[in-house]
Amino acid sequence: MNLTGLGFVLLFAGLMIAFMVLGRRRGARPPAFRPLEALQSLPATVGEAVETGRRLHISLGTGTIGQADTAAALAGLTVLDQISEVTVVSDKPPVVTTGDGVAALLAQDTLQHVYSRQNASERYDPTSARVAGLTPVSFGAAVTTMVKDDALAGTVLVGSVGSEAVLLAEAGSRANITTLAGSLDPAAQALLFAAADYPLIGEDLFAGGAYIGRHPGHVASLRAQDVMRLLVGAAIVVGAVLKTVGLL
Amino acid sequence: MKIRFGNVLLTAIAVGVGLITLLGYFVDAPVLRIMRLQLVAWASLLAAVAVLLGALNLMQAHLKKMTTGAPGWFYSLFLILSLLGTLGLGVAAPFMGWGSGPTNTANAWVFRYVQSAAGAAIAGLLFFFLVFAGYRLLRRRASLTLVVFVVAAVISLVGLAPLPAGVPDLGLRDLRLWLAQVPAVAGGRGLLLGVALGVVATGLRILLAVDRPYGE
Repeated sequence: MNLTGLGFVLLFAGLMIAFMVLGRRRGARPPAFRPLEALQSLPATVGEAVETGRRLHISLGTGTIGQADTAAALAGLTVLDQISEVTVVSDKPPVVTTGDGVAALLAQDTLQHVYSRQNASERYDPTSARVAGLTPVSFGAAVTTMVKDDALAGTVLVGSVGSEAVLLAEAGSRANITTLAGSLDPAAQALLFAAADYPLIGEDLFAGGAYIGRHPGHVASLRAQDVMRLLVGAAIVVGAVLKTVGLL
Repeated sequence: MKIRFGNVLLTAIAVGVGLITLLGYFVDAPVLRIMRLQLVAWASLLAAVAVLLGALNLMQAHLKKMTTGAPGWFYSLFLILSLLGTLGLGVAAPFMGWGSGPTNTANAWVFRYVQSAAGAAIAGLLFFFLVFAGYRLLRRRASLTLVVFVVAAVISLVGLAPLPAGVPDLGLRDLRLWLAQVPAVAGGRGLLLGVALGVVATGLRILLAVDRPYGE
């Protein structure tokens, strides 16, 4: 039995539940987040899309549900859910792209629920969430052409994506639209730091739910992540010291 | 708030399956291991079906673009013809003596001379796009982080470049090596640690039914 792994997960889950309970107490202080330019710029990008009657492009990247990059696609779905709440009422609803069939189905389902919540089910179009390409390069090529063909107002990429993300960011830059992008892959993060207007670095990718919607569950999750990061960091330092003095 | 039975059932199934799979990794019980492997096998099967659904979705989106004459409809026509052509080649291959399965000669030819060639061409463009992106970045955002980023990128590029015989490298090769082995690795591990915590948090949100991507 892997007690360390199980203990880690249980501690993480326990912290999340504790922060959720604490966050729902009467008189609980509202969460204070560190400034995160990418996510703070999002309302302006969304607002511009609604006001100018152009589409917002939300991409979940090329990550495959069921593989190692599932979490990134799920983080993208959370952002999709929260952004589309605002944008489905505009003349041009958002367009969602993925590189995976399952992620496309989940994106369609998410959009359908948002339309249903807004009592606008008749406006839902299944092709507004689509597979852009089943390989990374075809995905990159397809989303590049979309920037011009679909008259996009901006691109929000939250998911797993490789170097092909540069194609999307470059197309956005040439069309003079905002590109906010983050990926699981550290190499892609470095490329996006250079190419995207607003890059999401490291775990920023998973902070969308807390920053945009302020959902108590997401805020609690973010707080638990912070505590766990401190604990893991402390464990690394203690481990290094113990190893140095020969006690490990 | 109205609670639908269907949603409760979906949540219970998702949480139950998630817990069994997770415990199967940590607890060394044969029942849990068998259940975990079975569930993962089912997930793989569903994922394979989803690839087909993804191709159909791709076709549906491009057919709509073609029929409505949306901008770029010609590329959609090309995509649909290519999709049907590749599918047709795969189906016809065993009857034409080109072998069978995904590695038949016809499919291998398409992958080698069309997809790989196009992919390599697009990948080749990335270098130029990155140079332009770097230039624009310098004009757009001036910050200490950016200066560090650009200096590290230049040192790495120059440190890797072949120098003519007799030209001293001014210690740039060693500096590039140090950059790649110490700060880059440390930063990369920090990023990966943050990402890993984000992945665990996302998984736990599903297990705790905070996020329900399978329904309301």
